[in-house]
Amino acid sequence: MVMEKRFIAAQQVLHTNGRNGSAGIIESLRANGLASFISAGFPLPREEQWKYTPVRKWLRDDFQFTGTSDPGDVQLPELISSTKDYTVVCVNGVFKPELSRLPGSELAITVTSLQAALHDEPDLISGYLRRTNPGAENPFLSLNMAFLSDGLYIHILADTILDKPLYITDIVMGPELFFHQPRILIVAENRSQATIIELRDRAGHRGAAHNAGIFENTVTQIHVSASSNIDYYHVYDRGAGARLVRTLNVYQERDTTFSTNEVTLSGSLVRKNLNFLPDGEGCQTQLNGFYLAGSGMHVDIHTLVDHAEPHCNSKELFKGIIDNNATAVFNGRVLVRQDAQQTNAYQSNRNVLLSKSAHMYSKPELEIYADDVKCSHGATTGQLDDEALFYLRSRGISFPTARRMLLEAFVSDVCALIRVEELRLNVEERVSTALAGMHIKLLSDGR
Amino acid sequence: MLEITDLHVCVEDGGTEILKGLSLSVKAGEVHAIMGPNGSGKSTLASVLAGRSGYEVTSGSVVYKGVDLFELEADERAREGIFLAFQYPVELPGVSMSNFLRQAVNSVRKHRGEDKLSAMEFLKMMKDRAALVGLDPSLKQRAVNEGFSGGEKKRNEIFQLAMLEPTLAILDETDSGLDIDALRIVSEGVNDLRRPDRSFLIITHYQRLLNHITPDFVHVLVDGRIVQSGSKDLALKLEEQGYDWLKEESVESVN
Repeated sequence: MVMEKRFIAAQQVLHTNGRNGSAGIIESLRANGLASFISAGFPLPREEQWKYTPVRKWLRDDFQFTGTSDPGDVQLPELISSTKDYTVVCVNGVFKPELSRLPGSELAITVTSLQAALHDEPDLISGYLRRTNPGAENPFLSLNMAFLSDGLYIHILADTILDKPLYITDIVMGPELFFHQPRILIVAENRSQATIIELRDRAGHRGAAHNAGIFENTVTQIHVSASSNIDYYHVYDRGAGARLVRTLNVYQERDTTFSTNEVTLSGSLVRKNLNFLPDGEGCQTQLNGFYLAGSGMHVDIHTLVDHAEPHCNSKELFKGIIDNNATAVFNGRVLVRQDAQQTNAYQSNRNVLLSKSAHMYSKPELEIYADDVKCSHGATTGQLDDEALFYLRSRGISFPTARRMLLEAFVSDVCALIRVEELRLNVEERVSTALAGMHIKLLSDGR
Repeated sequence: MLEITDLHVCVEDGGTEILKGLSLSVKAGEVHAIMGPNGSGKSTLASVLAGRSGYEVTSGSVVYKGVDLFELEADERAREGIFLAFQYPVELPGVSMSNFLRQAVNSVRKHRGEDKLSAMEFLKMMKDRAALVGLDPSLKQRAVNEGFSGGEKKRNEIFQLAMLEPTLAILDETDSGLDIDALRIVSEGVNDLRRPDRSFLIITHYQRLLNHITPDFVHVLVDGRIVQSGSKDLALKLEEQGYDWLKEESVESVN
């Protein structure tokens, strides 16, 4: 518990005596979070869910828990500056309306700080915050709650159709070893529709090197009410050295469609816990994503789709490119409970290893208790195809270009699923940059 | 242009010897047909010339435009004007025809000291040359060879030949799997591409392609060696009599 003690002590220093002047409800949420964190502790290597990600290795630093209070001049990510779509800018997890471009009042959507929301509707909001999908509990979720002080709340009212995509970005400004724990809550009421992008990139106060020591423990909760449709994207590109543990909890009521596309491009540790609970009939759930694990990266994607109700479809596609000494983990759990008849669940994980010292652990986990369902999965891990490389080279294309073309092509089908063109182009550019940065020695490189 | 002398080639890592002393001389603008039974080494010859890995040259030499060919990587050979029309063209999901061809054409042009083509010029070139082999111009949005029929794949090879304007084109069983009409279209495309400074090496099992493309020379490859060379009439004789009489002769000549 030595490691945990530092976090607990920091929590005590920060949050005793209601230092933030917040209502009692936040204190009680924090107390609950702290209690579960203390009883669970950080995962041990022997725990099945963390078997390939000895997370303590990345937790040893002497972290600080508060960011810069007066951020001064903020450098926005390029995409956020250039887009004509809606933007919601947070600094250190705190919503900054003055930096954001919000939908007009004709649209029934509220974007506000979590603190304000908790103040206005303590029972409702704390109810959402306390909710966790079954099986999605993890100590990082509790730790995030234990440090809860503020966050972002987006409330899309019934029958609202957001006419343009909405970008959320969170700029980190703090000490070098900043342990940052933002929280986002999105509630989409009945028959609403929105495209939401969560972008965590390198932009900040002092440029790229600035993120190299951060550890982010983020929690995003999305409540999708009946007949709503949410198209969600998560782009993580904080730069070399940055660490992320991310929990996404999605709760779907009946007849909803939810899709996410999870793009991972940099960082030293990226662990995602992506949890989906289609808790009503007629839900569609789509999880797509890819990870480019360059030198020194450890990427771990854990997904859980918990089919509790009949007539739901889930479709999952994750692809990875793993270079050099990098490691990637994909654990795709699909649970089809006894009542979830007529479930149609499909999962696919495909990986390309670029070196002999790259590691990939791919584990589909299908648990099926209903008898009238269609579930399938596929997992492949291999190298670039020699014959394809030769074909390109036989047309005069140099070896590095041929290799880059094939790798870009490998993730292109996942990129093509990004329905926001501006974002897709931005992601494709990031992919090219990331691939160009890979000093890869191919297994198939005969030279 | 191409001088192959006593070439011996094995499968890599001490495998079987496939080419056992092959010699061949190709001058600029000539069309040479290489025929032979299955397993005689025809495709190995094509592969070794284009630079496919998996083979080991144990002795002999190939000089192309005065340079030792084996000093060049596959992509360098292509930029120097060697083109291989694949027997089994490769599908490249996610790589569009236009991206593929733009990369290829610009690599070759850059090497030749020519300017990059503008987007307009490139599109026009694609359209014109696709028409040469009757390929639908909408193909530029499609992934390379993905979902192409057998005939389309072969036509796509000749289309790429037209785009890259090589000095030595090697056609590896381009006729296999083609129906009569496709065979005619592909052959006419090849005939259109004949130039005084462009040579062809046409590798085929059957004579029928040579009804459309008239070779200057026909060589018969048996067991890794050229056992007979002649004019186009040799191809007709092979069509009538098969390869057996040559195999016997080759055994006798060895003995």
